[in-house]
Amino acid sequence: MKRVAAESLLLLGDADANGEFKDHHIAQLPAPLKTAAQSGDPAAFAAALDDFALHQHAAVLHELYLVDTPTTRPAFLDALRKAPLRAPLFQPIRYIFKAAELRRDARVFGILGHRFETTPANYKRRYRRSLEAYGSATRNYLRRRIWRVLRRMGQAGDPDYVKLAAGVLLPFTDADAVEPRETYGVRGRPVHWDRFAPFLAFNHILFGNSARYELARNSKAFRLKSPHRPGAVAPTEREEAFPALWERHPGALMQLCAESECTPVHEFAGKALLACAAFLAELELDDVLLLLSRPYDATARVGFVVAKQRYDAANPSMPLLAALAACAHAPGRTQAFTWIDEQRSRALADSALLAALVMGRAADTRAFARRLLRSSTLAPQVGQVLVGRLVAALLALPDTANELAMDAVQTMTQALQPHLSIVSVTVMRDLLNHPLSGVQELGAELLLRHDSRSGLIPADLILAVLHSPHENVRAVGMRLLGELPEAAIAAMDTLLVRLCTDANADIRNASRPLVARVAAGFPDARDKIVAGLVEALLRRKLAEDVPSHVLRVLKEDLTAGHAKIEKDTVWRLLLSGSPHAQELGGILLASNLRPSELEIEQIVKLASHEILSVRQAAWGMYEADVVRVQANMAEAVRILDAKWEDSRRWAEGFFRGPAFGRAQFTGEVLVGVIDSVRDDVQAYARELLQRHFDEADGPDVLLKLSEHPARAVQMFATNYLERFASGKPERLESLMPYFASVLSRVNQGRIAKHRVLEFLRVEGARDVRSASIVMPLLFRLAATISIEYRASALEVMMTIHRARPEIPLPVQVKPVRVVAPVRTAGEG
Amino acid sequence: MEFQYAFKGSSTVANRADSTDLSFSPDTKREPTYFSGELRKGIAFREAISALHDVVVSDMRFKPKDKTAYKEWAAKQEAIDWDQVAAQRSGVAKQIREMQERLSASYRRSAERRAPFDRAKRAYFDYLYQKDRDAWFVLDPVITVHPDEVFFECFSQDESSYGRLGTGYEVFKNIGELACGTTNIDYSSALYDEFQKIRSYKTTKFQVDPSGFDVKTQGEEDYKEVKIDLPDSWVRGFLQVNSAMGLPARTFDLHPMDVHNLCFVLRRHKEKKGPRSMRYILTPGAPIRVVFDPWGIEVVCRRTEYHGKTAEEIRVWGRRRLHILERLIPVAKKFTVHLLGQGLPSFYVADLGDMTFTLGLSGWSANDWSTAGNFDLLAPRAEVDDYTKQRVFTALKEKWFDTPDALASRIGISRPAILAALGAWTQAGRAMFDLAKGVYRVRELAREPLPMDKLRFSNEREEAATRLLTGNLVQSTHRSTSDGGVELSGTVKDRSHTHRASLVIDADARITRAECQCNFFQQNKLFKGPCEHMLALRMHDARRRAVVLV
Repeated sequence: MKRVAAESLLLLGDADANGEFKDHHIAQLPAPLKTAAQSGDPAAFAAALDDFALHQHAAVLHELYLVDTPTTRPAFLDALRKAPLRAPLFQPIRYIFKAAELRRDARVFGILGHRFETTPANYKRRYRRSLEAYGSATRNYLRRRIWRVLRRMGQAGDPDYVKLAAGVLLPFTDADAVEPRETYGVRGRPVHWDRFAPFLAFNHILFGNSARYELARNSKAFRLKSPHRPGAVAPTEREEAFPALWERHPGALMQLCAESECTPVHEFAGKALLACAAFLAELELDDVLLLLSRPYDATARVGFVVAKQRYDAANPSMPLLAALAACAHAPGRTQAFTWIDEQRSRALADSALLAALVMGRAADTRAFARRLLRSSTLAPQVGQVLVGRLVAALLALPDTANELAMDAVQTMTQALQPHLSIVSVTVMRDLLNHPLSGVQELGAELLLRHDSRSGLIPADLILAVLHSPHENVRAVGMRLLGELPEAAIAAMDTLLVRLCTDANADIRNASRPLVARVAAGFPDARDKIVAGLVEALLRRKLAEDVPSHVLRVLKEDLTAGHAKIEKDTVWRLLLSGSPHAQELGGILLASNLRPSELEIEQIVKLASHEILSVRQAAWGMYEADVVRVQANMAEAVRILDAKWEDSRRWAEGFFRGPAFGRAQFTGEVLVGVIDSVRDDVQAYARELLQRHFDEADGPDVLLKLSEHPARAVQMFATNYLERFASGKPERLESLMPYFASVLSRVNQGRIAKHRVLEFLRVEGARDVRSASIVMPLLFRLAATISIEYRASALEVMMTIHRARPEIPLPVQVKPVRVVAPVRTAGEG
Repeated sequence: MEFQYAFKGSSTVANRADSTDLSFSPDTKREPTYFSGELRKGIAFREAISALHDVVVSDMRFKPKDKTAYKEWAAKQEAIDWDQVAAQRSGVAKQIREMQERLSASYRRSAERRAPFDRAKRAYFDYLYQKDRDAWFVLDPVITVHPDEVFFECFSQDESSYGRLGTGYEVFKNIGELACGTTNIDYSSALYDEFQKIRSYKTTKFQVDPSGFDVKTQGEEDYKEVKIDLPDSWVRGFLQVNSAMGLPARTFDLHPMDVHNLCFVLRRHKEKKGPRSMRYILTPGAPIRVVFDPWGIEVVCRRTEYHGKTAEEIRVWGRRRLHILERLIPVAKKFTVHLLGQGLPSFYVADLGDMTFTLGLSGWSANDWSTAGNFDLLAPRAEVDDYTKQRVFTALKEKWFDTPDALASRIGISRPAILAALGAWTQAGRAMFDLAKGVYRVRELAREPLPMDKLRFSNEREEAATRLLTGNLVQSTHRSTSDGGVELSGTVKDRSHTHRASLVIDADARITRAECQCNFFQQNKLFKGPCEHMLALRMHDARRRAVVLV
């Protein structure tokens, strides 16, 4: 009741009373909205409404419709477009919908109608969930209601029908279209549904008298009558409901033509407008231009009809010609081309017309423009203004218009060459930053011309061209590089380094001849490039295939620059993780490093290098300076433990040579070799040990060998036990960890264990001190469950105890109990 | 879960004739942690760190045998047999045999000719395998410097073994500057080979290199940025084993030769079918006995006695992981074993004098769903508020390590609350319990706090199972089967439905058959693992039968 009263007040009241009423409601808005509404700034109010939690104060939405001032309306309409159709906002939306119907507010009525048509229901009638608004029944009711209101008005001849119907049609766009469908009816007959079939009021308005579409009984969408099929050309007859009402109000048709983005609407409005000859005759020029500028054939056709009536060959209107030549109606364009050809001299003086042709929406317009421009010469000032206009238009292009941009740029480079030089570097940079490849290409082309004029070009622009994601733009960049004078390139060494290390193969390959040319003519630049490339190899994580390219350039084109590379850098290259850097290091090893500059330790490292030539170089260094090797045996023998087998084999041969004998292979050196974890090295070391062994080193070698963790070496060490540890309790003590280690091996090392146990038996029995050292170890071993070693351990303990009775036996010996043999029955 | 490290250079071991320098490269992105000293007991350290390496590379997951070569051979063999049968029938056997001889001769020749190529190819693949060996390790070990010791921790690739080597400062001499904290170190398999060269007659310098913290320049060539993508299950396994350390357990000592004997049995025998468990039979006042299934071999540890109060039998699985301890047998004084219970983690602490080596083993080597149900280990032990937790952590961090009792008296919070807080920090990977010394230590596993909500459960069904259990909605009965397993059945009330579920668990405590009435089971059977009702049933039974632990 309250809402009905409020609406009635608004309808009946005069302007002052309504103003007062609205002020009252503004005052009741929540504080942030109130101040924004009172400020009179629509943008401020839009921002305030955006921040406002509308779903928590749903009633405010209806309040806003009561207020409905020019300040609040844009933001309010926007909120209506976005508000979710569920609780709690759905209730005020319903109120607003009905109020709009009462107020004949076409905009609001249309927006909500469009939302009901396009928003699915929250639940199907059958599956109602508690407290959920906007179910399928509600939705269908509201959809039907829109047409019911309109139908009643139309039948009563109410002029507001046109207003509201236009409001309903306007929110629909081509994006709302669905896929055409084919279903099968009762007797298996196919039923066809067109792209806008599901929208009830929309179809009623547009196809109320159509021979093509019908709404079957109990149906929720418009179907195609047989034999019509989706996608067919619209008939020339008019199909809308209440055509007389529309003819009476051609202004609404004009509005639809100007604002709608929906093809069926334009088809309807175009046909209807053609029937209003008197209205068309009185149209202003701007309106005709507007009709021609719309991208819909039906509307452009109306514009063409009017233009044909108004064309005056003696004094043609240039804007009209331009608009017609660029319009969406093909016969119109053809006519315009004929007229322009007739008026050639005038057309060529009009840069606005030419710009419109070059940037024409249709391909034939652009082709015509190119033909026109190539076959004639422009006055310089016209040409320059034209280029300016075109550049501005290109920069403003959306991301989707690449074909247009490519065409326009081609026209410019082919037909407007003499006028292109006016463009400044700043504009080129803008062009190069544009996402469209066509626009970027223009930037690159301009750069090419710019360079030929002054010879100075910023390096970042060249990189921008070369790094463009579009191949055509990069191709222009390549040409640009090729045409630069050598002196100019030589000054740009960092640029060349970056080009050489670029991730794009075509850029790298194109830069290679440049580098070669610079290297040949400018030594300073060459050295800088070499240094830059070497650093790049060492430091940066380069893209795939780049290191191999850099290496090739350094190896083949920049050989002359190698001499300047420092020896530290060579060493870093050799130790680098990158195989390409290593290879370069290998190449430079021979030329830039003298063997005497390297420590023995470093040469040993080179013998484990990945690259064969480097390892071979290391071998060569050993062979070249045997005296030095002999002087540093302890370090030098570590080459025997190199990572690579070929290095090890070589080293074995080398150290078998006559230059190395007992004097070189001291005990310490031999132990150093045997310390390796590699079996082959250990075997070789044992061979060396047997060949060069000095008895004097024996005890020391034995002690050192005993600490080796490898089983084979532990086994080998048992050979020396008798010779160097026998009868010396102090040595026995230091060897105890070794014995423990050998005897604790799990299920391994049987021979070594036997030798050790045998040795312990002999040594333990020798004297009291030895016995006291050995006994705890044997006692420990006796805890094993291995029958063999437990027995051995006990036996050795017993032997020692018998020989040295003063050493107590840690185990208790039970006398063996003799059991009399049991007689069996058979024996008896 | 992704971890990022930045190392300055690599960890290096420089071996010379008279010295060995171990220099570990710490993660420079973490707070500075460094240490340097000279090792006094080189050999024991060598053996212990080698055992730690064995933990890192240990991988007991099932790897199917590569049978392609055999299958090729078998196919060829089959073809030949058929040929012969046909030949005998048609009387051309001789001809075929001759041709086959010629054919095999040419095969042989071809093989001989290709031999060098094949050898070189194999050598090349071996080389590639060795070269990328470091990519095989999942997480570099964690090193922690504390005022009383330095310790290394690591977790194996198969997510089942945890190793910790604690070295007291008595092991070092000439200790240099140090900064307490935890950091990850750069580790590679080449280091293992270098460790083998540690000798007592060489001076061995040990340092966690502080130089990386001096200058913070990223992107230089010698800074190595490492990104490791760790599976959640790996981190979960680590935390589970870690948090299990703080739980009460049966504890007893073993003589080194006892461990030798356990390994000896395993080296001598290889089982072809299960059960693959080891039963510890604990009788108060009697020697500990260990029985190996399925052979029934009994090892009696005559030199140790069980001091617990009740007789028990505890089964543990994944026994071949004990081989990690082999290298420690000669250097260890004794081993202390901590058993939590059947199918739960077990711990072996080797006493190496001033060093201790802790080997933690999860319930099974394989952490698949068939033995799932250990997510209780990451359940909060008791309710404790964030403020108290923070206070406890701050107090612990003041001294880096402390016993719960000392902490309780220091900050005046009751012992149960302290234990609950410390348990929570352990589960979050920011503290750990030192079994050897009985203290809690600060140890932040990662630079960023770990996402505990993601780690607690491996899938939503485990979470649902816990909810069912806490809601007391499960009823179960169990019945032993003839092969030593258990058959469980019961009902689980899940919202408005009551599901009847049943499980058959074999002698190795794996689910071998299961059924449930719920939708998940009807749709997936067991292809996606057990449903929440089966898990709840299993946990319910386990809890009912478990000896009270906490």
